Amino acid sequence: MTVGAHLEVASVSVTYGDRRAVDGISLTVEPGEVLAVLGPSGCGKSSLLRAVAGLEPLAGGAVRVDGLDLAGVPVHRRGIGLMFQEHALFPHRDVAGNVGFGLRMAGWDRDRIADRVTELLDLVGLDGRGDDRVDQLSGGERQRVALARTLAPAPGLVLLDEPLGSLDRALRERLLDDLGDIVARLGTTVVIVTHDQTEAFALADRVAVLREGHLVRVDPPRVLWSDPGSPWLARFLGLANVVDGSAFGRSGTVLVRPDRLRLANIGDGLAGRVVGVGFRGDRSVVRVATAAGELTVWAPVEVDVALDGAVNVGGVDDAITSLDGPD
Amino acid sequence: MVPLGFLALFFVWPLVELFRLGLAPDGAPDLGPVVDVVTDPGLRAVLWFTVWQATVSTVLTLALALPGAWVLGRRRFRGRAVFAAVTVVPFVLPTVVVAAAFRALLDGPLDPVLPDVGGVGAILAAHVFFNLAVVIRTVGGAWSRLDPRPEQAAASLGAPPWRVAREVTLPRLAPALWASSALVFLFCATSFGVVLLLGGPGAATIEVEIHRQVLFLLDLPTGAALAVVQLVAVLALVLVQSRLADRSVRGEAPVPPEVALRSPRSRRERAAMRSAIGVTMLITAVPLLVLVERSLRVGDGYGLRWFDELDESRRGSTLFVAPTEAVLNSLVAALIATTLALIVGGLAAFARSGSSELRALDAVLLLPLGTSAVTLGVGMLLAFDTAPFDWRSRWWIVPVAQALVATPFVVRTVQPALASLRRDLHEAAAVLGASPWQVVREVDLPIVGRAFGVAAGFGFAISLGEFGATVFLARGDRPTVPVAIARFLGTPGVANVGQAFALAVILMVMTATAVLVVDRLRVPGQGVL
Repeated sequence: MTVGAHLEVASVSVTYGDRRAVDGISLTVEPGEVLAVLGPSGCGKSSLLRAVAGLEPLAGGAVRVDGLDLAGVPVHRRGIGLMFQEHALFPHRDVAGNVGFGLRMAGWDRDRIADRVTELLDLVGLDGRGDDRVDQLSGGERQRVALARTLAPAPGLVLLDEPLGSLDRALRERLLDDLGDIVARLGTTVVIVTHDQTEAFALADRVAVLREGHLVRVDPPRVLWSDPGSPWLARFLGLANVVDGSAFGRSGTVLVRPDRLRLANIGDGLAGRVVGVGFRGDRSVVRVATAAGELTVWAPVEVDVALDGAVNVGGVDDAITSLDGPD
Repeated sequence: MVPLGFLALFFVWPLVELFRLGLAPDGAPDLGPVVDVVTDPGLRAVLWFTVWQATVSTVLTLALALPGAWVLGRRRFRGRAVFAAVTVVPFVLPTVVVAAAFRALLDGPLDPVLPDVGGVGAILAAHVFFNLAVVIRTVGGAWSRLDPRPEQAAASLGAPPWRVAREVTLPRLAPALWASSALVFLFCATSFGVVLLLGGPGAATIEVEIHRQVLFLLDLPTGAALAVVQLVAVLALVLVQSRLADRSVRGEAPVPPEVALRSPRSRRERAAMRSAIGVTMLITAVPLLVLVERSLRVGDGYGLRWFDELDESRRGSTLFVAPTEAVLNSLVAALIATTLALIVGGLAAFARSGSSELRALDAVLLLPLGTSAVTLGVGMLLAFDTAPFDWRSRWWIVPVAQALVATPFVVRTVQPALASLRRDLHEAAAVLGASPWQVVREVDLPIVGRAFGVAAGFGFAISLGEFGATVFLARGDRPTVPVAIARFLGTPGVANVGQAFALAVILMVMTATAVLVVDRLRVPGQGVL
């Protein structure tokens, strides 16, 4: 078990020419905590990660690990693990050669490296594959090798840049669980950059939301989900029904949570007509035209809904959350 | 700076000297020699022959290569990799070996069938043999990256196969077809060894005429003027070719092989595949097999006599030394040339990938490719004849010339490897604790080292077979193998021809060995063509 490092990002800015990719972001990550940095593509989350690793120069602010300012510490002396988005495996080395690279750089002797490589290949489920060439691996296997390579030197802080980004959906689901298990077992401090909220929610203790280089929110997944706070974040999280509150007697923009709405009996709630039904496996997404505008309701799949049929939407009062944050 | 200095001294300066003699023979600018070249009936015939034989060769090559390109680009079959490897063989063979093979073929098995083919027919056939790989590789490669679904869509919209080919496949293949045609035309128009050794009277390209003017008529100004005309025309062609090649990069996203390739489905398709493979293999293999057969033919039987006698300096031979000495000369020259080419080409490739301003070097570096070896040879002959640069009869001028011919290939091989040193690999190594110099040792060198191996193999093969420049610079008592083969082939007599064939077989084996070693080193997906 590794002892996690404490990471402090203080008013960090990263610029490319005139563009400020990261604009004065401050964050603290406690030892052993898993923080997800979530945001749409181009929001600066990868730049932030690279700045922590020392791969991008800071235009302002400071990065401190366990209280030590890393300014002037070159990349290779920082001892921070970084897993690259496209994995960046060394094409001229086999699986074991990739995983053991950091250990060789640290001057470990051959036997210890071999033991540690075996241990890590076990951990990521690639036992006995040390001699394979990396260009013959599948996408999921490459991802596992990259993870093992990053974890091998047992860094106190691990940065994962879109760890599941290039994989197809089924594989992501499976590796997401594996990754969660591995990360939880290690005890190291982890920062995961992702554009996928499922990934962030599944893995992280807290989620930092970035937008156009600025920090929007930092909160545990549940808090973020139940109270997005701003119309932009509600939409980014895929929550429908971001509407004008006046129809419900509220001021400003409100979120009518589709997961809290239900289809009700006639006479109960808002009357409406079904204008669209979509099957999503675990739920049906039903769009209903009501006097207050069109509302989306997440209904259990067992509920029988006919297109154009008359329905009532219940639970509206409980579902309304105000979004008073700036859009 | 080192590569620049080397190129300036041994390449640019000879060309400048050549231009000076061709455009200003008496110090003052004088277009007389060039005008003479273009107006003299004899020389105009040479220009005309150069153009028409290159055109006919290109059309023939294209026609005969398309079946092979189709099979390679669209069908999956057992032995596909072997087929692909075999098709390249002719292209890497030295021109003198190809000339010897076709001499063996036309004087041998084909003589009773086609007695009147003569020099021109032999030249065209040798050009097809030589350039088949260019078209099969370029067009077949482009074809295998084309998405087959537009064809399927056209068929489902009611287009019969010939209209699918004309309206969907052909337009998308056109850039590759044009690019490879331009390249083949360029190779045929600047063809030297094949034309010199197979062509009779009236069958001379500009290159061969330069050789004749300089070495036999000792008319250097006319030779220089011809070289100037040739250089300008070739540079124009190279420009056109690189434009066309650029165009083929644009457009659709390439698809992986498993999408483009499929197994044959009907008996007719299998038959078509077999004939396509058959035609390609026949063109590739027969001349070489006949060459081997002829080298073993002694009188009416077979034996190793021509090989055995290679270590003797025969009386009355056109070679002043034993042929085995030529083999040694060739090996030594090729080793030095390869080393030089690796240093110059490697440094140039590093410089080019390092900064964008040095892209200007591109033109200088690709010039040797556009400049024919003959032009280079004549230029060096001119430039290095007075003190303090009186080097033209030094033995080392031959490897220097060969290195210049091989350098562009080195650059082209090493460059992609350097480009593949992606920034994220450097970063990954640094994050894992590698210091900057460890990054170079652990990441850069291993990846680029392989490319250097490939470049060394090809450079060695090119230097071994180099003929166009060497023939002007090799001293009479220090011939290389290609020079020896040419001399034997140019002299009548059974023994001379037999030894020429034996030497050609040896040269073929040496080249093939170098290329095969290279092939094992090659990173998949990085072609040289």
